[in-house]
Amino acid sequence: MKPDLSSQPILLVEDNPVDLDLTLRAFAKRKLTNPLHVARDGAEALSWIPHWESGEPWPALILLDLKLPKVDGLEVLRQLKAHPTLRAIPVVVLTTSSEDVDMQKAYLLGANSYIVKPVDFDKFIEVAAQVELYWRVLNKSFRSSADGEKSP
Amino acid sequence: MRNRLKIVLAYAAFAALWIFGSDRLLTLAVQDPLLLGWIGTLKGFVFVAVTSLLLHLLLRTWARTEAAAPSFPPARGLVGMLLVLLLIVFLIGFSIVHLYNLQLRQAANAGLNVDQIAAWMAEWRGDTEVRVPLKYLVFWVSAVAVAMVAAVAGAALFLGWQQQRVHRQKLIAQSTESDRLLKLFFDLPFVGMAITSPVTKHWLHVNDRLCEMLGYTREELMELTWAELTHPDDIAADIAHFERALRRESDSYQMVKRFLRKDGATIYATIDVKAVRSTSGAVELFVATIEDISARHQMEMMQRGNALVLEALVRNEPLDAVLASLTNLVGSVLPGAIGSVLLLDADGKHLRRGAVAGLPEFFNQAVDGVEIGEGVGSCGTAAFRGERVVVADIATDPLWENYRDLAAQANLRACWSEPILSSDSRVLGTFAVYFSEPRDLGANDDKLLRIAANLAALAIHSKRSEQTLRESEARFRLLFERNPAPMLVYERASLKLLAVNEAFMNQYGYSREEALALLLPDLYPEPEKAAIVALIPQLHGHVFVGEWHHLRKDGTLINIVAYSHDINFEGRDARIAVLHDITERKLAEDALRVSELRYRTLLETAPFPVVITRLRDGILRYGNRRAEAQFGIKREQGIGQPASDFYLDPTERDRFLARLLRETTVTDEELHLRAADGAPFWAQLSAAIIEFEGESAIFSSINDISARKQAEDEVRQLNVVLEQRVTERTAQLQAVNKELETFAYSVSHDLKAPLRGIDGYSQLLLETHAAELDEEGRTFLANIRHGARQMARLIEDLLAYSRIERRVLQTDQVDLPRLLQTTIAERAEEIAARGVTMKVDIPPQAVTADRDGLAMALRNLLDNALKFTRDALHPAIEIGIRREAHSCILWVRDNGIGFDMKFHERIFEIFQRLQLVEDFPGTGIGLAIVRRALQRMGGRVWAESTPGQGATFYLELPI
Repeated sequence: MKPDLSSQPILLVEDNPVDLDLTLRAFAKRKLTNPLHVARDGAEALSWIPHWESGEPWPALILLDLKLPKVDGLEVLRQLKAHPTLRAIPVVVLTTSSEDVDMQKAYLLGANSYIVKPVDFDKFIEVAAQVELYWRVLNKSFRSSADGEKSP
Repeated sequence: MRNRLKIVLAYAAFAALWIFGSDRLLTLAVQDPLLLGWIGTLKGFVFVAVTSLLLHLLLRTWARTEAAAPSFPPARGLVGMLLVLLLIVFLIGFSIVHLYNLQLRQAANAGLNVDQIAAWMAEWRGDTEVRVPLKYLVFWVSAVAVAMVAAVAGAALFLGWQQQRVHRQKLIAQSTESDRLLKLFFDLPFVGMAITSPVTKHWLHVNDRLCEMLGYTREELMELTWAELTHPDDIAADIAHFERALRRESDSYQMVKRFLRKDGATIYATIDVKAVRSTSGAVELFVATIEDISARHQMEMMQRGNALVLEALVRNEPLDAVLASLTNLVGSVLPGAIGSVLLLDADGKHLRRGAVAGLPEFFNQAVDGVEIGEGVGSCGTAAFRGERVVVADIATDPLWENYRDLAAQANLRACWSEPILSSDSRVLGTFAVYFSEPRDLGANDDKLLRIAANLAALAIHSKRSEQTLRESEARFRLLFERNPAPMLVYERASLKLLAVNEAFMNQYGYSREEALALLLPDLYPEPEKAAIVALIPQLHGHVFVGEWHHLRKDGTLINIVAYSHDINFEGRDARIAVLHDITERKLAEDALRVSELRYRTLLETAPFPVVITRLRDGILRYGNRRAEAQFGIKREQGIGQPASDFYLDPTERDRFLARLLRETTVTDEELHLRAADGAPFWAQLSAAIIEFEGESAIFSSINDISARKQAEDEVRQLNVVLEQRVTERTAQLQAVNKELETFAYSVSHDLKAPLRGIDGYSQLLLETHAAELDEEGRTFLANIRHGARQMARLIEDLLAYSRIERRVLQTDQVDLPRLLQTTIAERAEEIAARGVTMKVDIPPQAVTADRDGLAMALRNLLDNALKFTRDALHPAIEIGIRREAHSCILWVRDNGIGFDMKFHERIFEIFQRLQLVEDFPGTGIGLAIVRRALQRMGGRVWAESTPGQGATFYLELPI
């Protein structure tokens, strides 16, 4: 059922157009070929849930900004991680905020990782590499456990 | 006896057979009766001769046997006898043949059946031809004779052999008897016996008693030498005796020595060793008799100990010491035993430590104060039952159920406990003996335990009665010495004063020495001297009360009432007297009227209201002028009214009265009273119960504190308002703080985002449009990026600074060395890259601080030091601490560029920089963070520096 890694989409939840653009560029530099879905606010991110429930392929990874219009990132994270099945999707919180409170909350809600967006673009690309590495590793274990569930 | 009968019977049978057989044969061979008669006579002679000889031999043998000589007639006697017999037979045969030769014909004629004889002989030989028939006759006679002799000899031999066998059996019986006796003796149940080899020193034979004494089986004992079983201290003496016996200097020796039992116990024994020597004189065996005298020895030791304990008692040693010597004694008498004494509390329910030195402290602590009862170990049970409790194995006995682990920990396996009983059979405590191995009560231990417990009882009892005596003496002394009434003791016979108390000395003005030099009559004025001297001999036992005059040292006369009683004072017949000075009373009686007047005046003019109320019914009996004013009522109307009318809440008066009755005086009680017109006021009331108009009354002084109360109320009101304001202000501050937090959050999030755009697109521009840019353009872009990063750093630092303000402090004990290590480790890479020498010497030290705040401060100090040592040739940073009375001072010293002390205050202010940002990049916030953080946790930071000589930053932290 799971398509191969590179064809699985990545969902990027980001309101800031500059950050969005930079993220896309950073991914392009890392030559990530996965289709990228973009949600520009928390509500839009949540609107994906019914699609996934009705059989559309799940994203391999969700990159989530915390400070979002309408519904904030922590709420999106909460709903995703409270979902009976979708909570298996790895969520990386990617935000400008380096406040401890945010980090604690995100981890308490079940974020798989928390990465502070650097100002320096070079470092930003490193972060993209980090994300890529992270979801590869995560997906591998996720896929093997999903396969394991399927075959009796 | 039986043997003789047998011999006689055998002889009779033989004789009968002989007579009958030989006669039958003769009648067959001899026909002539005359010849037959001759031969018969001859035969009879021969028989008599042979039997006589036999008789002689037998008699001789018996005679020898009777003489206890065990040997039998030698064989050569027998051979001689046989030869004699043969000679006799030969002579008989020869004479017959000779006779026959002479008178053959005549004999044939006389009727000897020659033919017949010749025919027999021929037939016997298988030879029909008969040549010389007479020879056969001789042969026949000889054969008969030889057979006869052989038979007799055989009989004699048989008899002899028989005799010898009987004798031997007798001997054997005799020796078996002595063997049996010996064995009996050897196996005597009350004395140990052993045979040992002088060569191997092993036991060769031991008896059961010895096995039992030493606790080994016989087989085990055979494997051992006596030396191995001897107490090490006694081996030398034993060997000396032994060697002396071997050197033939003595044949036996006796000594008292100790043996070691298999179970490790020591027993005392007397040994009596005898050497058995061979003919050559060498010692073949040692026979030893061993008697166990342990019990005797124990008793002796116990007796000696008894004496020691008693001596200790007499020497008046403390009970602990006496009991300790008792437990020590038992420890020495019973090897391996630990003695212990527990005492029963005065409540008779709890055991307290008495003498328990031999047991581990934790055990004693656990036992101390334990409540006695069934199943409370050996001692708790013994004290409860009042009888001995012997627990041979703690591990299995139900009485130790709850203390098993404790005992195991203390390595105790057996405990016998004997209650210590007083003469009236009350339990005073327990005497217990502990062993580290399971052990049951032995035969002698019963007596031992009883003696020990009795001794303990004696010690406790005598010590307790001594104490009681001392206490009552002390009580008496106290009663006498501290008695407020003057007291004295005088001797009846001499009238000398033997003792006086302090009150006497005060009252009479004598010192103790002076008083004790007086005679009783010296205290009396001249007119009464004779009377008292005359009276004293008549005083007997009873309390005597008399009113007298006494003289004080200064000559003044006082009125006294004396109470006296017989007393035995330090062995002397004396009387004790209590003297009551009634001078004052007499004076007082006179003065009373005057004083009452004075006292009324005083009350009247008192500057505060005073009222007196009858206790019995609460009716006002008196009020002074101030009271009239306070209550707004004339005395004439007020007196006679109930006091409760002047209370706002009459039940308050009940409470006040109850307290007064309980405490007799009450001071400054705040009560709500009211005046006659009902106007309420606050009063501070002090009251006491006095005598007034001949009965109990309440004296109350009143202080109107309404004004003060009002002020207090105002203050309280003000406080409430203030508190409200503070709450409001706090709420405002919290709101502001909250706002600030939101602001900071937005700053961190939104202010940085555009910077990322600036930096990101500058970089992208550089990468994708590099060709279209000249050198200057690229420099511009680099500067833009630098600016953006600087801005980002500034924002981060500002956030950190504001975070310090906003953080909730979590004051904690912080391990300073560890925190420093963590901080240094974070910068390890930079330190290594820059080749900075770090010298950190921090002893273990905890400080009271907010961990994260302190970590931030340390991080900033370290960064600061690293930054400013950048240009040093050999950069070095030194960190250390110094303990002060209530704080700990940590210092970070660098050899960087340093600063001028006139800028000292500025360096800790936010955004203040002493260096150009191009020279030392930074935001000017780091040290401000340090100061803020320290201020927040009640610490302090300062620095010392000389430009170019490095700087030292100090942190003072509360411990």
